[in-house]
Amino acid sequence: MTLLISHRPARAAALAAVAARLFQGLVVDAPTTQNGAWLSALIGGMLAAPWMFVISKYRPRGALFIAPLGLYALVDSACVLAAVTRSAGYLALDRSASLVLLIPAGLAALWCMWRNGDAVGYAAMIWTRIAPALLLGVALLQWRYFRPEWLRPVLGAGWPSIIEGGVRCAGWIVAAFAIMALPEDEECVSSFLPVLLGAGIAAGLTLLQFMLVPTQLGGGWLNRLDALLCNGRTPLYLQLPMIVLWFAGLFHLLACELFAASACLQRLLTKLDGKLCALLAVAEAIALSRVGVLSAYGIALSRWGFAAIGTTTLLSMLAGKKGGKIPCAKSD
Amino acid sequence: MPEREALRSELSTDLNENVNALRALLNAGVNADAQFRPLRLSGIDLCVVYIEGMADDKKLSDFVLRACNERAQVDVAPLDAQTLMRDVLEIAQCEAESRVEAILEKVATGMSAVLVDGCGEAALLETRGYPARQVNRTTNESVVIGAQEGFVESLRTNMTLLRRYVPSYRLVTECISVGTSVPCHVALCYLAGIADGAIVDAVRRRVKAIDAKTVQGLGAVQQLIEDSPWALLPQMLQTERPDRAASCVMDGQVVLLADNSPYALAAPITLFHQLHASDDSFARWQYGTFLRLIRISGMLISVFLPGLYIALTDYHMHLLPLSLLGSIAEARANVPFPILAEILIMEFSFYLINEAGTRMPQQIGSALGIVGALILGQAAVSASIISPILIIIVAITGLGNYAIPDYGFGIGLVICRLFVIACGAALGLYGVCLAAFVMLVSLCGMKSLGIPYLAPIAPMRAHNPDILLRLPVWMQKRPMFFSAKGKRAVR
Repeated sequence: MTLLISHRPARAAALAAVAARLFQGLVVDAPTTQNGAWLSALIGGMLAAPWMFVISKYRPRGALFIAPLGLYALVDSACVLAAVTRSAGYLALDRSASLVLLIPAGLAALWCMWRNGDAVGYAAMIWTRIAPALLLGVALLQWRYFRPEWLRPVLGAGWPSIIEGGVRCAGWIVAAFAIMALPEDEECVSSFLPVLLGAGIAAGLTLLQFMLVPTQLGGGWLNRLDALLCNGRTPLYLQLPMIVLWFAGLFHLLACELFAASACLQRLLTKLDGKLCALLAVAEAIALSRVGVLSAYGIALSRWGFAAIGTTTLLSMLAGKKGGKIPCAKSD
Repeated sequence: MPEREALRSELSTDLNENVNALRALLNAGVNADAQFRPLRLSGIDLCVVYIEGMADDKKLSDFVLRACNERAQVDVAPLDAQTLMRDVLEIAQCEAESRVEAILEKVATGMSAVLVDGCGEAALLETRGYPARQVNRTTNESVVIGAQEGFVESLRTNMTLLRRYVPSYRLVTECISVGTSVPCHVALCYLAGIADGAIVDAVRRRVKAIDAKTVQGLGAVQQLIEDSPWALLPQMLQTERPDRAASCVMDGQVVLLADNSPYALAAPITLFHQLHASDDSFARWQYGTFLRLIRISGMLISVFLPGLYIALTDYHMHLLPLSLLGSIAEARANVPFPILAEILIMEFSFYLINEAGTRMPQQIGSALGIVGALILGQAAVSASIISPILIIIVAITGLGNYAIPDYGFGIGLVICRLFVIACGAALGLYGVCLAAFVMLVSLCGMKSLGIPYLAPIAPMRAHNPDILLRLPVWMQKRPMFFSAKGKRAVR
């Protein structure tokens, strides 16, 4: 089995993944959530967009590019997997061993990857149509509890913090967008639209969240998750759509990043079967997510991830001038 | 001569030799219904071979025997099968055949073979006249408004019904025989120029590639040619309604009919086709759209409601309004089983009543529903085996399932529901979301004759607005995306 994905499903998967990763990063992962986080999302989008345009246009194939990209997607998917299981544990299953929560998510991701990339991408395409309806439900159920005045001060801790957050966001985008480097069909319209659109959606969602929960609350990862899922101001039974949104968004993100990691692995080791690559990627992600320090370092890693992938892309492009790149066919 | 060689041989010019060979192959000594009727015409011996009951006696006596007797003294020499068909027999549909196997296959289906002494060919006459059920009202796909006729077991009648609904010279009905040991005749029906050639070729290729010894009807054909035989949901549409089959043909789908199968198979289809009913096209577009939304809700309720119930009551009580939580707790106070056991008992009882009701004679079946629903349910609640709220949940779930027009699709959804229940019981909402995600990706990976199962939503295709919802008829100008015209429009 060869792990393949066409351009259109990859674009949908990238859009869903970018929005979910930025939202997760800004609202739950980031240690200090400030009002300016939504601006960080937009800046991150603008920082990453040129690189992602280059990746989707030239899609370098050399190991110099594929290896770090796959590795980075894998590490980030481990962070997402950890977030999934911690969320599950927080909601009801806190007495279950983390491995018991990790394995079902891993198996689900594995099953999805075995259906191949188009299935993952088309599922994301459907998700991008369902999610707005759910989001509308969330907004309607909680509209009485939104407090726009909590968005002040707009810049939060100021521009340095916003820009630092922007670089972090760019790193998350790189991992979520990795899937766009994989399509090999002729129809490969180079596009950074998923990046900008995803960043815009994440910024909007972050704004909505900040109107429900004051950002100054701080606290640990679980406190921030608590503020997201059960913000303490709306009746708990109104939180169901939000929980569904959160889980479904993370599952799509996880499948997208793990698929990118598996496909990169198969492109490096061409003799490996795609199913085996997917299995290896899932096993590695589960193992990595068991490392307790990973989530703490996930924040720092994202900054370096952007720099590392940016550099390897540049180097691959330079190498590509000697014949190492595959330019896209023009789409009509 | 061994049987295999005898079958592959051709007729000789000696009538006695031919008759003896056919007698041996048809086990005429034991087979009471294999008939060999000798005749004489213009001084030449003939023999009519047919199966009693399968061939119509009246047709044989009126248009074969009488025709031969009336011309017994007329000189029609030289007499061979072609002359016989042209100058003597009064049957409209006939053909000459020399291969023994082909002759026997046709005779077994009710045709008659006339063997002529001195001629190496037999005249095969269309004399089929076996008893068959009359065209009647449909039993499983009832509609409030619209045509009421249903397919029957006779392939010929079904093809005629389809032609009646699609009176077009473009309608092609290709007959293919499948089954290497016992043949089953399958008719491939499509509208030339409307159905996509690649899809027609794919169906034809798959049907011809069936190498099973016996194929019992369209159910077996479906399993042998569908894209993902391991998938829970069917990738072909079964319908017992000629009007619906006709609608599929006119949309550019390929319809399969077969001997002894009182329904048709249509492909390619999408998930949304499984939620269509014939009423939709007869009703005004607002009603059609509304009913489709009800069916979609029914499908979602059928799959997710029990799983959500168990997840919420077992793991996420805080997500239930306090008054509802109080009612549930009160109702469950005396129930000794965990919620999972309670749900499984109820689901199992429901399927049991359902299955028993289906198999029982019609007169008892209706009584069984009352016994199951009222007496058993009431007794179970009184005995504190199950809680009343669960009866409501299972009843709504069952209703949701019955709202789905396609029987096979409904059963597939029941299995999906059990999967969701298991996930919800094990992992709560996390499990339900995980199950939904896995099912969504699985659906996205499925195809029906190469057409994505969730098209035209994913992948997005320009389409006739009569797939997911049903918009006004005057807006339904665009051809279906899988038809030849639809593909051209996309290109």
